[in-house]
Amino acid sequence: MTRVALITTGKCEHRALHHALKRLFPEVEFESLPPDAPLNCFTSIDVRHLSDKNSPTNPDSSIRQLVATMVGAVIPGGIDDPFNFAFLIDDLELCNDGHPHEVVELVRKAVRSHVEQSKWSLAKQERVVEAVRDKCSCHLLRPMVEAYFFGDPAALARAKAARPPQLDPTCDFEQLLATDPEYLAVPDDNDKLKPHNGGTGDRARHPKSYLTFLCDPTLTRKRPYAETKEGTSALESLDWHAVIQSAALKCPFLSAFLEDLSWAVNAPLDWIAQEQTSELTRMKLDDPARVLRNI
Amino acid sequence: MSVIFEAENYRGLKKVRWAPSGVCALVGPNGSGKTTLLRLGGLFRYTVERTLNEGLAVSGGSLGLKHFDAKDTDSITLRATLDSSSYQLRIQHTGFGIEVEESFFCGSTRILHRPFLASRFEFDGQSLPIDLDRMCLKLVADRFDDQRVVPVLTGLRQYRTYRDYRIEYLRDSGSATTGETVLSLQGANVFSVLRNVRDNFGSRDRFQFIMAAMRTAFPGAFHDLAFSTSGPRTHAMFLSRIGSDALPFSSAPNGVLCGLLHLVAVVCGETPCHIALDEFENSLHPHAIRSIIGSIREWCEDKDITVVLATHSPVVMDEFNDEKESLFVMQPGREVQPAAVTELADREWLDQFALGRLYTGGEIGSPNKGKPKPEPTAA
Repeated sequence: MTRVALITTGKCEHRALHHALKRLFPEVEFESLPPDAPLNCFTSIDVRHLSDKNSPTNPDSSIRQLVATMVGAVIPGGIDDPFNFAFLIDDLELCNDGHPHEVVELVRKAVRSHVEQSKWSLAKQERVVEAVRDKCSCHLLRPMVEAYFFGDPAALARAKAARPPQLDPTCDFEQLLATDPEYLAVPDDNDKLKPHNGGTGDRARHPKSYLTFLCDPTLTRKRPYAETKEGTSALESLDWHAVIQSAALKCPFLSAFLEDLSWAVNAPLDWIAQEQTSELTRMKLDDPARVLRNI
Repeated sequence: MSVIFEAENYRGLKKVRWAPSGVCALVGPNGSGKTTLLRLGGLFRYTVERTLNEGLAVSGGSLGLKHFDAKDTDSITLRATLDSSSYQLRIQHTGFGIEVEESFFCGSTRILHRPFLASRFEFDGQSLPIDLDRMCLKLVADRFDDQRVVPVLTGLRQYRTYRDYRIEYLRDSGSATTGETVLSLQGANVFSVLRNVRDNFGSRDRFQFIMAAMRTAFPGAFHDLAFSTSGPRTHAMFLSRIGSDALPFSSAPNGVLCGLLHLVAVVCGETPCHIALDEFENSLHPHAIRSIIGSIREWCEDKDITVVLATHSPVVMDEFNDEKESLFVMQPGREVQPAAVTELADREWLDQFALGRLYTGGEIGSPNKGKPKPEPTAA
């Protein structure tokens, strides 16, 4: 059985993404890594302004921890047998939404630094580089996983949304735009709808914030939407096909992820065409400059 | 040289084999048997010095001795091996209470054997009466000074496991004034030990080492200490910084007291010795953790001292990133525990990660290791 490691950053993805993908690829075994808890997100700050602490050349930075886990998943010699493939999946987040290419470049630098700074022999480094190019990918959920719940009414119901969303129909879920006047009228300083990472963001474009509102339009409950509960429940049975087919632009980043994964596990999805995938993160196996399958 | 300890079906330990040396750490899930493993040395020590019941008393009591997964026919076996000599105890519950079979092997030859429920034992072809107040190994060592058994007995006497320091007792009552120079197992004599060590020309360097280590570990919180004796009690005052007022230790931060106790346990120990510090990180700031481990390493560097730190702290584990072979893991699913982390994965693979990160992520020492994955909640 093909084994795929999912290196995720959110609690929701860590708990539920492997279940959700198993529904799409029942012959594949998915596991979240690290097994007990997700690693820190590297995109919660604008990647154009990283401190030395967050630099991809710093082995302790979040991105390097993620890359180390991804690489460690596919090379032999680890605690468990190597996986056939490893997919690093992180939210793009609104603070990086305007420059996803910078995020991708950061990943590229982190992969190179990880190998260059290792104590491996040159021969081992070359073997690792080859393995990682063939077996590892990094994909972005734009701007975050909750965006896709809006493409599956059943997922919203599982998240306990109390009423249907009101969205601009010309926008893709990856560029979701809430038009709900009641939501947009909530004062900016309302703590319930503030992003956890402190950024003010654009309320209308923030899927988690809008989902929180839909779960409790009165904003009286302490925690109407929790990733570990409502988010997990929504994601683990997400109807991927419905999400992509109902999206205005077919969710290019999600499509790139699913297309890459489907080819890796040798189970192509006929409802995803390469043209609809994000050029930035789509599979590029014929690109000699790539460091991963898709970057 | 360290004694190799083995145990089968003993409390939470299904099967263990372990011979730590140098400064090392032991990690693993709650309930995996870390404390039981640390206490094996004490069990042997107090058993051979006194009786099995006293050995059991200092290592968790006499209830729940047998591993839950052991069959009725399986026995509890404990073995301590030094070079080619092994001292073995088999324990079973009988209608008469806890009974023990005692054996001593030189290579594969058993030279001492006390069967279950016997009134006599065999030693070197002689039949001798059992002394209910002494284990047969001790009896033979005392009576014959047999040099085949004495080194093992001496080796087992070096084991001390520290846990559950009596912090509140020390704050309220200080220490009983005694002539002791080794820390008692819960640290209640620490002020008396420190005072004796300071006032003895031969051990004053130990006191000075501890003071320097404390200043480094607790900058701004500890600078010096002084003693006062009231009746049979020894109390201590401490200066948090130069020029500050002396304060009683009753007002000392918990971390300062814990750090002091750890250092006294190691630095004031006999040499050679084998010291285990359970839940080492309790009350300690990461700076203090790193600093005290550094001081312990410095003290032990050229001495025959083994120190085992049982911990859940990623900060402690990261202090072993450059000495990965010294981090031992109770890894669920393995037949024999514990395993050096370098037995679980290649060193080259491990070098990609900080050990603390592997522990918090669940790759090593996770209670979920080998367990079935949770099903979807909405399935």
